[in-house]
Amino acid sequence: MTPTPGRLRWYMLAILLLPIPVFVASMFIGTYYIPPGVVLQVIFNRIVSAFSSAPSSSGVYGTIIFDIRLPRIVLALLGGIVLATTGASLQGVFKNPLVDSYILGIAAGAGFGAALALAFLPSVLAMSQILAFAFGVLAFLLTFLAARTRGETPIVSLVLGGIIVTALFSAGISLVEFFTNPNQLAGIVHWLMGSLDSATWNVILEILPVTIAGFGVIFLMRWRLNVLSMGEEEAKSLGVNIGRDRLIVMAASTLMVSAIISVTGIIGWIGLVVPHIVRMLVKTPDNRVIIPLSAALGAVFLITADDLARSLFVFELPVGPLCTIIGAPFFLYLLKTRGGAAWRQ
Amino acid sequence: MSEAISIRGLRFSYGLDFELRDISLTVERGNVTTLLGPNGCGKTTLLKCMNALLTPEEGIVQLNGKDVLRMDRGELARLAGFVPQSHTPSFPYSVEDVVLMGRVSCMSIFQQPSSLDYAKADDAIEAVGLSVLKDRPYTQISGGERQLSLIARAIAQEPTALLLDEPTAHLDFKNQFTVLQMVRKVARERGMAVVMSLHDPNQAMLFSDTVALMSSGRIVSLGKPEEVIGPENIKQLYGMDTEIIVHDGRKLVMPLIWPGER
Ligand SMILES: Nc1ncnc2c1ncn2[C@@H]1O[C@H](COP(=O)(O)OP(=O)(O)OP(=O)(O)O)[C@@H](O)[C@H]1O
Ligand SMILES: [Mg+2]
Repeated sequence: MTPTPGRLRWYMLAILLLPIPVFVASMFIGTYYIPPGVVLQVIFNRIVSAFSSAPSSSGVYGTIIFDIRLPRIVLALLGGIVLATTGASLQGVFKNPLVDSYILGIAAGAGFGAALALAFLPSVLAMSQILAFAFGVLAFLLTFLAARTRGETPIVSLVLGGIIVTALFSAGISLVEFFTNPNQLAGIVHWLMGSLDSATWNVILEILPVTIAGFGVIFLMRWRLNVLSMGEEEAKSLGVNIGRDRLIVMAASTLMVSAIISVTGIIGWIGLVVPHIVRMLVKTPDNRVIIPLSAALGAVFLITADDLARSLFVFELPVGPLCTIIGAPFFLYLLKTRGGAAWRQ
Repeated sequence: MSEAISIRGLRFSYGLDFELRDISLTVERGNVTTLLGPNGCGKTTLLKCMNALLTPEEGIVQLNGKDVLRMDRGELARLAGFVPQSHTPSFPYSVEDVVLMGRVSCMSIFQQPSSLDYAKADDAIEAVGLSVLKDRPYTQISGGERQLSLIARAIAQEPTALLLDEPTAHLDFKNQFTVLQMVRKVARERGMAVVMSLHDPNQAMLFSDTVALMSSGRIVSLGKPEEVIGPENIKQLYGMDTEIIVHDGRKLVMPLIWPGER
């Protein structure tokens, strides 16, 4: 009899704590080289001055570490948590291993919003972020409405609705690209690839409330996700208002994913691969374990990928494609060595 | 006090030629009622109407005197536990985790199961005799054991009514009797009203207080098992010749079919 779910094992604790060392280590990495000793010194000074209320004057190194690197690492942390968590929860709700947060049309919608702003309103501050968020949410609403028939929203209809909405917005993106000039086209392409280079403390503060609220909802529903994954009729006869609960999961996911990709552009693969890695590692499908571990591993994944993006070459790589390039072979390796154990019946 | 289950004048159709009609039935706490009838006569349909998974066109289903269509899913699940005829496993949850899901109707949306919920789940697992398997993935146990864990899940729900759709399907010869005995015991001890569908008249005879014979969407006969189950009724239901054998004061239905002849 264990009130604590699925028996917390040492390696689960290790995964949960892994983001901390990765986070700290990432402060030493960047396009602009700062000797590790100096980084330590600057961090130390900043901590001391925070306690002594003396004015901090850590100079250009301080600015790089605290106003360029740190917000970027925090954004990677948030993004990793959000993308992996929504992937895990939606895979459960949809009873489908190939689902991630983009299945609901959010990516294409947000992409279209960003493309509109970058092409036609390039001078308006933060317009791409606003429109990406708005269109991401709009895309989900369209998917949901398309799928709704006679008061019910069956999973199959949601998947089909998502495909239709994605197709429409993708066509929209193509049209915008066709009508815009090469300069702005480059901006759109860059946005669609996904990158963390627009991270600032302001941006973080803007997306933080939605991110925390969304993650909080999913985290609190972690056990209920188990019941939702049993399928429509069974969840109903167990006493779950499945339409409502499913909508809450999807809405929370949509809001936080839209908030993240409105800043980062489309970063794929994390939502798909991280929950699978976790399921293969822990050998339980219990979402009370899967959700927190996916969040932790998602953060580790995106922070590490962005470290590589910042340090592999003298110039910066877009982190989106990099995620896929790291994730795909690793996933393949796990699949070959461990099989689809987590999904096999 | 009102009956645990009461159905009056129920009519339902899928919009095709099949129609469930004129269904009236009451079941008291502690009693077991069996639905007996050929494939496609409407047993599953009736059980789903009782659980508001289907909405009847006419008539009313009440649990503890309350219309099932006026309850939310949580309230309904606290009154009726349902074990479906067939079940497609989803993720490989452990048996205990599956049974624990029976507790969801007593929890708010953001709540996690407490040690009390675990205790109730384990108690239900014990009641069906699956304690040794409780940590096994329920995708890696036999069909019969899976059926038992789903029954345990319905028991963990602590409902007034237990609706079991062919609880003996997939079970071996002995386990069929073990489960039916267990169902009857649970009904008595926990004061649950049980409605189940079965295919074997002998099992219906042995384990029910009331039998409802069903044929093409109607209850054609309702009463005590010994009164209802007889050669004429079975001939009417299945078009099959049988004989009643009395042994030790127990009635048994014996099909008049001999190998090699008709
Ligand atoms: N979803 C459905 N849509 C349309 N018709 C259905 C549906 N489900 C069942 N039916 C029809 O309704 C009738 C009753 O089906 P039901 O499943 O209730 O029978 P049953 O008594 O449970 O049979 P069995 O013993 O084979 O389980 C059958 O003729 C069946 O073909
Ligand atoms: Mg049936």
